[in-house]
Amino acid sequence: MRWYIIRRLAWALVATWLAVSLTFGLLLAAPNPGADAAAAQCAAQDRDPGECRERYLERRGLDRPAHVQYLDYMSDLAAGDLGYAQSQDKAVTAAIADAWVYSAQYFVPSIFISALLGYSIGLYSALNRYSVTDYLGSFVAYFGISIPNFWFAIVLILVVGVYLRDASLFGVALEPLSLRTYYESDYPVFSVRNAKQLVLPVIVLATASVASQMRYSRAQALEYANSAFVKTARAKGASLWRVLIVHVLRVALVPLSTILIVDILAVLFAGSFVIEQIFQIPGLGRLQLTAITQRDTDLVAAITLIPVVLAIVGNLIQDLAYVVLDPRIDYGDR
Amino acid sequence: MAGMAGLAGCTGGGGSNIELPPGDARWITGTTSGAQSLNPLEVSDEATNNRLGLLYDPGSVTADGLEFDGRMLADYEIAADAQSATYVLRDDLEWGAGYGQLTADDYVAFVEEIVFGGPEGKTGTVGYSQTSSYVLGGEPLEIEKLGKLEFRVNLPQSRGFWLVEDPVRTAFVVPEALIEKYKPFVEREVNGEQANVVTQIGQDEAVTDGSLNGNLGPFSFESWEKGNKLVLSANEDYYLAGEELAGLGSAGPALEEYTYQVFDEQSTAYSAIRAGDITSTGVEGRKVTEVSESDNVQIWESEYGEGTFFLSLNHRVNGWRPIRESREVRQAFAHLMDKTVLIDQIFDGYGDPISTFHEGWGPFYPDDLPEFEPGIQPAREKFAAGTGEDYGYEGEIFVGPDGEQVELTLVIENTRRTGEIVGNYVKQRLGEAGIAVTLEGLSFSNIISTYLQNSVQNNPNYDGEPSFQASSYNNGAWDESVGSQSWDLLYGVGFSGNPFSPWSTINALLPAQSQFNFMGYRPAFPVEETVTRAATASSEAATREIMEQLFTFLARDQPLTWLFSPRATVGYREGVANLPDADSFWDRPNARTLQLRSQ
Repeated sequence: MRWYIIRRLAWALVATWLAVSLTFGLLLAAPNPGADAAAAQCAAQDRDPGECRERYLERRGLDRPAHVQYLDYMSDLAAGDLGYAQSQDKAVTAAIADAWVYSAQYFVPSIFISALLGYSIGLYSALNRYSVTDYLGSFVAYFGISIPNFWFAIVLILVVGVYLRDASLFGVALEPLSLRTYYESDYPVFSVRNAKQLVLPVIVLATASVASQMRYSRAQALEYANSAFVKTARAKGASLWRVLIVHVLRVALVPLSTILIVDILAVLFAGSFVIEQIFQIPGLGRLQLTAITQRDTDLVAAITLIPVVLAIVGNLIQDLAYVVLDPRIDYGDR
Repeated sequence: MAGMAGLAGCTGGGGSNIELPPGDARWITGTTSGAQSLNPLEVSDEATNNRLGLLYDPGSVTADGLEFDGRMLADYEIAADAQSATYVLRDDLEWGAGYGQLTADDYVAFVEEIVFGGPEGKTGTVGYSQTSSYVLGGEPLEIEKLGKLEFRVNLPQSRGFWLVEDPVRTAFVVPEALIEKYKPFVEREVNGEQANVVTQIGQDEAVTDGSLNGNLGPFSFESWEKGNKLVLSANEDYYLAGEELAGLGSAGPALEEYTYQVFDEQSTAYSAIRAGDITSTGVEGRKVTEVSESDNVQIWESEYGEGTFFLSLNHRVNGWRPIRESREVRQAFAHLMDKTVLIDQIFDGYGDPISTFHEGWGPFYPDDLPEFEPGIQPAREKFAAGTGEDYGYEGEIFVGPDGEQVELTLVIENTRRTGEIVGNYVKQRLGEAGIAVTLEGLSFSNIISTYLQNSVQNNPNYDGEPSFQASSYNNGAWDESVGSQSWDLLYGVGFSGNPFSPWSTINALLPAQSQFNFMGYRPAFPVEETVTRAATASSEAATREIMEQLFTFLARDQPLTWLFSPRATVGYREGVANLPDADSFWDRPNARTLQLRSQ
């Protein structure tokens, strides 16, 4: 077991190196809008655009050979120096430290809600196939998968943020149900106002994620719906929810936990770019997008590390969790 | 001046029955672009300029048109020959951060050291981006101190519109002592990079913590999240506080807090103004009706918008030959365009047709211009007359020398709705005139690289060196340098600039060897010389007369098919008071921040 963990950690380092190197290479190959802007500005001032471009690159050390830049960057990274975020005018660590809090505020609730709702609806649907509730669950799933995040977010803002303010139902004003149209970063993190303004981002993000959790859990549960141990449990008089949670979920959790990690990273992290742009949340998604568009190499590489590390650590934890979830799994001889 | 009749005003989105908290003096402006810096010396974009304008007053403003309206300047006088201007500062202006009184020395040091890089001319090391505005006809202007609060600027040539052009009058300066602190001018390391002097000053604590503004602006710095929001609070020490200003009443500011909130997604800003979460935001013309449906919104409108849009015609050798050879053919395109239809479809009516390279309300727009009545028949007649015997109509179809229907390539920017509307409209109208159209839709960056940037290497029929190389957009003459793909018509390029000083915009686009003449146009008119004469005329009237000649020529020659200029439309939360009726280009609500109230 110990060797297994050590080997996995070593592999984690290699994977991280690969991810960072790939990101660095892509950024190196991408056009540099800052240099283009510097050249254009000089042209407008009747100065030599080529010279201005070179000066811009020289100041930032981007005129050095690619391998020198790469070695320099990797050695700084190894020493724990993530560099300076030009797009934010602050150190990379400070920029990330300021941003992650905002992402976590809607990210963490979304994970819990999507896992809880997704698994609940999926398991319930599996044992109540072709019922109204099954169709309703499938509708939720397909709705979440089909609807684009950006469109759903814009419509929610319009309906909940704008229309509800002036609407009434049977003479009762619906204004109290309306929510803010964009994120106000001045509100204290642990306050009712902040919780209220996070409702819409959490709904949008969780909707997309619930769908895939629900579909996978339903498919997994169906495998066991007619198995002997489920029939036995039912024959012994176990309630539907006891069968679902104690018997079916227990065995289904192994593959589902694998999907959960991938899903969190794929759906949620990718979704955060859209969510933060539309709701104006100053989190990691916006930070990354700004860094990419402004070719802020240090910041892009550093933020890229976050999902990489999450994926590697998450997968490691998940492998270890298998042992707990399924006693038949043992890494003792690996 | 054409079209100066007051079309501006406010139209409420509905009844004003909503109740705002009384005394709500917190103002939030929603914007799609953030400030790049809070360094007074690093202003190269409008967003940064707007924000710095709340922290630092300019010398004067021009809210009431072409008149001096003093702020930090108590007096300002342009000599009769328009070759010099004298400036007198108020004597109650104080820098913050212990830099003392603002005096003429600060302006002199700013111009001599920052703008021109000191006696050694180290402009590259200093890195000030607006130096070109201080160079006229290749010669730098000169500044001389006349007294503690008085200085004069001597111009190397007459400038009839100096009030509008004057960069000194509106510049954000810094204290002389702050400049001295960074001498000698050399590049130094800032945050791991070699930085120029302007960047070094921008990292000075007095600039970064916002304390430098002292009593010089209506607001004081509170916080800045780059790319997200800037929060300012009313400056209690503001030098104008309580003073009566002509046309503005008490200077205020009436607001306790002013926030610039960036919105990456424009639709969120529209929702926010409709919900009352923000106080104001710019609204695209085509969205005005939708946004103003909400009772919470009032729309401020000004006919004095900025920007001219046109259909580009390819005069280069890889374009349709009759375009470069026949004025009649170019006029035929003008006949095809019913500009009011396009304005209705694109801007929902919030735009104005133009017949030359100038905003319809612009100061130099001639009263009497050649107009081309919209219609298919006059277009067909001019296509037939202008293309020679090789071309002609066979029934409804316009055929070329090869006996086949003439087919043109129209390139549009397909990432914007406007491009699609214009593309489909032009295709339909040319189809009605018997000409087939192939639509090519690309992103703007792909349009640049595929069609606008050109080179002799793309021309298989030309082996030599280009006769000139103005820029990658004009990398040789019309018969030498072409884009990597051929094209005939293109929509997606527009220009905006100060309509009162359009010199550089015209000179960048139209002369045969200008930097942005991607069309390969060869004007049969001395454009550069005319622009220089207009800019250096000794009176506004003389400038106007010269420019009218140029604009009349461009209306007749139709090197591009002139289309429209948009109006300015801004959404305000219901309850915002004292919005001005727009009497001039400068008379916008943000020019009257001191007067606005949010309740």
